[in-house]
Amino acid sequence: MACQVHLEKDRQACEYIDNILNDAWDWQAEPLKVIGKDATGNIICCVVHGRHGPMYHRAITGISDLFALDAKVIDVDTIINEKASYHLLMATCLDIIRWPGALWNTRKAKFIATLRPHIAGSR
Amino acid sequence: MKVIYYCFAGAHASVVSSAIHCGLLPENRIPTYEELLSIPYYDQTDPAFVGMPYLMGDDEFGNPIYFMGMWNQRQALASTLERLLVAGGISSETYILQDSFPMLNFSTKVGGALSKRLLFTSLGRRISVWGIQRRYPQFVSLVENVKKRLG
Repeated sequence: MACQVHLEKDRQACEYIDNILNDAWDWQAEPLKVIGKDATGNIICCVVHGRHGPMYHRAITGISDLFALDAKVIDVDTIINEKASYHLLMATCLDIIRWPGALWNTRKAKFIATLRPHIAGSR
Repeated sequence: MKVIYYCFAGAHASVVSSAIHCGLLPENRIPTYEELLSIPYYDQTDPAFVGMPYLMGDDEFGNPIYFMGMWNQRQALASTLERLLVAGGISSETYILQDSFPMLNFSTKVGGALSKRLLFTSLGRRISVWGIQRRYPQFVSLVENVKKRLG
């Protein structure tokens, strides 16, 4: 969802989560997925790291440094965790996305409002 | 071309492989206990920094040789890094990511766990070195194969 917010395609965030739930993306074998390119040419990727977040962060930044890539890692879990009871919110959202769109949109707005300031700084 | 050896904790298999590659360890004989312990980072990398690539040195052709740990995420993290490099426009011909964890035998794993997790450092190092000495020809073969890929 953060990637979609970055790409200013908020409406597609719902579809992406649905794809993940339907196993359209084998994130256990391939944790990194390229989502798109933003207006300034930055490539936006999503990484699923489970409980190994700090290690993935070190590896991605370390390898990027070796190859002179300008990579920035944004920890979405931490951003949302700082705001509220993330797990409850996420569980609610995952249920709601299968409900009528109007209900989903109210939750989605909260996520997007939380993420937007952090993402705006990375552009 | 950059060569990155990786293993579980980045403390034994990848350190030994990268040291052989850099010429810090002999290819024609099994190194002694003292020689193995004298390699930089052997059994010394901090678990808190697993995932960070370390530079071991350059090989005879000037290729930089690195090593890193990946816990039990070797396949997934290697795939992540390859995809990251593709996304960044880095050709796969400019680097080699080599898994050296399969070189480890049971005694080296036990020695590493004793040293790093249970803090029986002296005993753990003796056991891990003994295990590496027993598998040393396989380490040399691994490095030779990587050097062949370098051309």
